[in-house]
Amino acid sequence: MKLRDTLFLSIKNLWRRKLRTTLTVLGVMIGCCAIVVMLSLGIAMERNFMAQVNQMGNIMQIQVYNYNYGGKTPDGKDIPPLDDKMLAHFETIKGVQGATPVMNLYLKMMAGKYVSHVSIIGIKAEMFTLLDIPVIEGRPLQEGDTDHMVVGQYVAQNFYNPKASRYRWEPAPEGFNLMEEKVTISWDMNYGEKPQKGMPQPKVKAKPVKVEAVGIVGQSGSEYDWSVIMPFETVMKYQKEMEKWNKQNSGSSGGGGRIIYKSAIAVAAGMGGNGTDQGYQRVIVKAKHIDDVVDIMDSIKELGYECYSPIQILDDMKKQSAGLRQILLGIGIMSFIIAAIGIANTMYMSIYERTREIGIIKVIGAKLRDIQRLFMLEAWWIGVFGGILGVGMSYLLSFLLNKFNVNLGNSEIWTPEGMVKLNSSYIPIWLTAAAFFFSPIASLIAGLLPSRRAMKLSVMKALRQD
Amino acid sequence: MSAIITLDNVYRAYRMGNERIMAVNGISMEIYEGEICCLQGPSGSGKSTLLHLMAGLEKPSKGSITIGKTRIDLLNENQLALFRQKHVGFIFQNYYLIPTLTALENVAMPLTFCGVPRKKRMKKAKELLEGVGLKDRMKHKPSEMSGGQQQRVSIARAFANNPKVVFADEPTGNLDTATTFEMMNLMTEMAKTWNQTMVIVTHDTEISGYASRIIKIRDGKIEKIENGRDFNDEKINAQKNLV
Ligand SMILES: Nc1ncnc2c1ncn2[C@@H]1O[C@H](COP(=O)(O)OP(=O)(O)O)[C@@H](O)[C@H]1O
Ligand SMILES: [Mg+2]
Repeated sequence: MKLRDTLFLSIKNLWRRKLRTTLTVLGVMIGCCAIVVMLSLGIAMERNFMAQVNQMGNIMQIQVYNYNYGGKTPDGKDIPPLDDKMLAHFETIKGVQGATPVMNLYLKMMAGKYVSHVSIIGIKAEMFTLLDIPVIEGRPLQEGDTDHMVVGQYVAQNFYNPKASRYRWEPAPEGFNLMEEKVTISWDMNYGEKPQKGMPQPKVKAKPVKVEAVGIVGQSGSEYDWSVIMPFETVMKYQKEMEKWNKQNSGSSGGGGRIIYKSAIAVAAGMGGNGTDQGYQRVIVKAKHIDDVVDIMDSIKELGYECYSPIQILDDMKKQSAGLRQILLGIGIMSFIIAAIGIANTMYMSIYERTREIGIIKVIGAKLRDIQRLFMLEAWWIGVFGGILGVGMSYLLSFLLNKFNVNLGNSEIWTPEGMVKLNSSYIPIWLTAAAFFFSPIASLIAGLLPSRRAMKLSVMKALRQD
Repeated sequence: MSAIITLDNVYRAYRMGNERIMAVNGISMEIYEGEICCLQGPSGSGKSTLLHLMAGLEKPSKGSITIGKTRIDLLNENQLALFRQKHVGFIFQNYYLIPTLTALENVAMPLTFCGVPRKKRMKKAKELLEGVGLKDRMKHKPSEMSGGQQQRVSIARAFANNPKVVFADEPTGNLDTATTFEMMNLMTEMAKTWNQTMVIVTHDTEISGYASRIIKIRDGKIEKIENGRDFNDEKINAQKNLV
């Protein structure tokens, strides 16, 4: 028997029992829809987590801190210093794209007649592009840069004219662009300010350094927005100069920012000072792929360092919602199983009703395979129609869920563009395709036993039945 | 005359509770090519069972059945289905048409299972229905036809795949006398045209007039074999002359 004839005959047989077929198809539709919608809720949840985590900064960056220096690793070894050697070691960990030390310094900057206190972040110039800092004007930092900087978008807003008025600081005008100004930097926090009466003047004047703004950072939602990024070595140099100047003036080592962390233990052990460093306070390690992040973090933690990545939050969120999503999926699967039982039931009924007919077609030459196919295809058609209707209904339900904002998690997140509504349900293309594919497959499986039974009926027994 | 069906010491037992009923109890016989053979006997004598055995619808408990060169008692169910498809037609007392299909579709059904393309099988079915005089009933469902018309459809269906042998189990049992003769004329006519062998079960003595031989069955055994009234079958005459 030709497949085309079988397809045609099976659909014709289904059509004979319109009501029953329709009810069975409805059952499959509901089962299919239940699975798709339940999955779509879970998928939307995960997507929303992702969106939220992306707000927090780059998921593929791991912040490594040296808080535990002088302590022991989990397996009892001394924690090594977080130095260049360790950095080189980080870069050999599988999945690591690069690593850079990070230091923060707080200095005074002057541009034209405007000044501002500025937070400076020092990173390796060649690592700049790896950190996915969006440059919207000019260029990123690059190897060979020294007194160059890339400026966070909001930095310019903090500049003011200290000499404009007695009572009020005049902010820099709109469109004030550091790239177009002559910029100098100083570790004297009074640099550029109007000298105040009664304020002690430093013994030695701090010599300002000329710096050049080469680029501007766009919105990144992170610390870069409000900071100036400079090559690590340059920031280090400023730090040393600042300490020297402080000493010259007061002999003490106070100053703007303290970068290199000296733990009490290290000091007590006589390891403090410039000669015996514990290394960098903070390092950023960049992973090549999001799936590597957790493994990399584990390797670094083993060495005794503290690690932090937004992916931990994502993981926590996923863990918290995993139970809920499993329940959702369970409900979906359950309803589909009920639908499949419905199919099997329908098939058994129609085989029972058509026993004699099966006998007749056996007498006139239907092969076992023909009969099995005939019934399997009936189940298949039910699955096909149920799947199509189920997907259609899923889209409708998904639309309604989103429209009326029925939500299982947060319904809104804050982004730089403002509050953004999160979808409660999201049906990706692959889910649609899977529903179209698996609905008929599952129906075929449901039809397997009934169609075998039809096939195995003995001719004469089937004919005798009325 | 060469035998197209050969039965050798065939038994068929049925179990009814603790009792064993021998529906066919040691039958050996031959059906000749091109003949119209009548099986007669009282109700419950085992005629239907014998017919089902010969058509491969049931398996003998013992003994061998050969059609042409094939031992059909040794075939499995799939092989039997194929064999029936190609070589056997069957006509039932209750017609056994598929109630949801039209006359045309019912007749085309055996050809569907043979894999004949739709156009071709519809053409053949149309010819056959015209042949049994149902030219204007092609699109009718069985429920919209009289018993005689339904039996015509089932006759057309039995001949659809040009079988070597057509078996008929009391084909006229539900019909009135006039229709019975019509039907018998039709079947024997068709069998003659295509040089087909027919085995007809009946307890209607009038029908035996159409047969070349009448085999009388009683209690699952052959009681006697009679030569039928010659009804001017040139073919059988010719063969007889040759022997
Ligand atoms: N499937 C069956 N199960 C049990 N007994 C059967 C079955 N088919 C036939 N018989 C018995 O076999 C005997 C012959 O039946 P059958 O061949 O139908 O006789 P006939 O067609 O000559 O009237 C009967 O006694 C009948 O009861
Ligand atoms: Mg009978």
